[in-house]
Amino acid sequence: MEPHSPEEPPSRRIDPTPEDMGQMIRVSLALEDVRQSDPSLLIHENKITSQGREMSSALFDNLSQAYNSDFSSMRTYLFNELDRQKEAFELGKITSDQLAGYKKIISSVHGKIMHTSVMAMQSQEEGNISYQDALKTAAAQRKEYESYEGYLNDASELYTKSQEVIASEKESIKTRLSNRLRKLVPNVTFSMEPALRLSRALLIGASILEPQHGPVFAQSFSQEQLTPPPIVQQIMDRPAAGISIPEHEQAPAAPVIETQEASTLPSYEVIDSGNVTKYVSNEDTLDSILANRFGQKFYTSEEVTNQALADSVALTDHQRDLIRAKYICAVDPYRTIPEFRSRLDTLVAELKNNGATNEEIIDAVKNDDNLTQLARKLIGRSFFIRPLGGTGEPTEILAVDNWEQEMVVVAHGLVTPSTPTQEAASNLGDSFVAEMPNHTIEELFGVTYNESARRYIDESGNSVRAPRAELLSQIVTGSKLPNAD
Amino acid sequence: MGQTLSQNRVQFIVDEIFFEQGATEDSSFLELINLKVVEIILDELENDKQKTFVELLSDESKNDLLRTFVENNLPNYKQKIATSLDDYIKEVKLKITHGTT
Repeated sequence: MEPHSPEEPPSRRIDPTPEDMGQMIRVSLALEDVRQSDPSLLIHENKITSQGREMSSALFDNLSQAYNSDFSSMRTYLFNELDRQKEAFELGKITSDQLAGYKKIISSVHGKIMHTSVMAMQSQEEGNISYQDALKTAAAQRKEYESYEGYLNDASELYTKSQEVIASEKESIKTRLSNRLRKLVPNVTFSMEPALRLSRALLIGASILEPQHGPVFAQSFSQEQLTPPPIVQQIMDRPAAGISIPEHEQAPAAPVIETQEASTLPSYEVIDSGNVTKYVSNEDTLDSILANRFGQKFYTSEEVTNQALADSVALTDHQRDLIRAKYICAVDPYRTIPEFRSRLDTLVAELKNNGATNEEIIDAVKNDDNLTQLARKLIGRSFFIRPLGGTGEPTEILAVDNWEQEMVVVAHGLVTPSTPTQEAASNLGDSFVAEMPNHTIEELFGVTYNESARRYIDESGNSVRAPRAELLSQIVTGSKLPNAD
Repeated sequence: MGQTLSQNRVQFIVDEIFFEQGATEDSSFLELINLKVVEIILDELENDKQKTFVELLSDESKNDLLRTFVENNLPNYKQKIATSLDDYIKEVKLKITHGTT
């Protein structure tokens, strides 16, 4: 579809009546069909280019007219448009980028329509008002939304301007910092890397995850009643490139998540400016969520894992176990709890000196109350051990508690803290963990995030915010996570 | 565009569209913020602490020490960064809006 040229008369805008709104809901369902016909529409739907914004506006006008006529023509129109663009792509008339852009636009338009219809339904549910009144409210909101649409082109120009300002600001700060740093340490060469590292150390550092400190940034911004979400919080939630994790924070045998480039990170939607509630898209996996929240190699840290598990109130047992299974398995009590290591070493040494067999050692460890309590401190449950693969080889012992349903605790070096032991532990962790990172939020929690409605929707299509959606928010933001202990 | 835009409208766009949807996706903006954090910390530290700060900053193997150092010498650094960044972002917004009207 071609964007409107300047010569064309302005497209007719909607002045929605309740009937229009009813039509709109049907339209949104039709668009949902389109959306489901190509899952890629869900991807990056927020990232509309400036050209896409123009096209979106034009398409939106056409759609508006179409759904003022009748439902079937609306549906036909959409499918035809999508097919036409796909055909154009196959014929080489448009690039894959252009096709992707078009999909984004369809998705964006869908979002606008869906936003209104869901808002009406939500108003009715929450406001104890009639559906007609809810529609009127939504219609008013819709008009506002349309005026927002009118700003988009202007925004594009402003965005260009903002880039100039930001570039200028960066240069100014770089110059100032270079001069200051050189005066302090003559040989130092300033680059972006240390700045990134500092932000990482200060903003992503574990201490800031503590609940008593977490809301500081949000409060700072909400006091000013800024309409946008707290920007600092968003930055805080993003991993900075080129940051190394201190060696002592790394568990050597734990699986390591691939470093993600900033440009490939999932885009998040921030809903509540005061609360810093973040939502994730359906494509996000627990891996990507926690990687974004805590940075790469996050699950090698006991503290971080505890943070992820901490809110037991909001978690059902099943959800908790899923997360625990995924993330606790990389936590090594032998290395992360000194008392555990000490107790284990002492116990095993005593048993060996007394001529105990491997099986006896395993039994003794399994039934040792001190170790159980220490493990519970870490994972919140008891554990027992079993030989890897059931072969009884003591050098490959892993601490496992009904791991297929519950959790896995890797205890390195139970008898001989050797490399093979660590590898064995890591391998088991990997093979078990491998199932989890590929699960989507929808699969794990049974909720679907509707981007345009900005809501989680459950299997019945009902809007869901708590507890499951809230759980995700809390995991992502860490804003409500108490200390595990 | 600029001729017809009211200040309110510009502000609306900058706040609602750019800073909500654009800036946090923008690596350039993130770099700016990271730079600003360095400057804020440097401003807040006492003179005799600044050299150590820069040395730690320059050594990528000392991330943990860097954080500890800042925590020890600027116990309320989080609030200071938040406040200063808040002010600074407002400044940047002003420069953007001022330049377009």
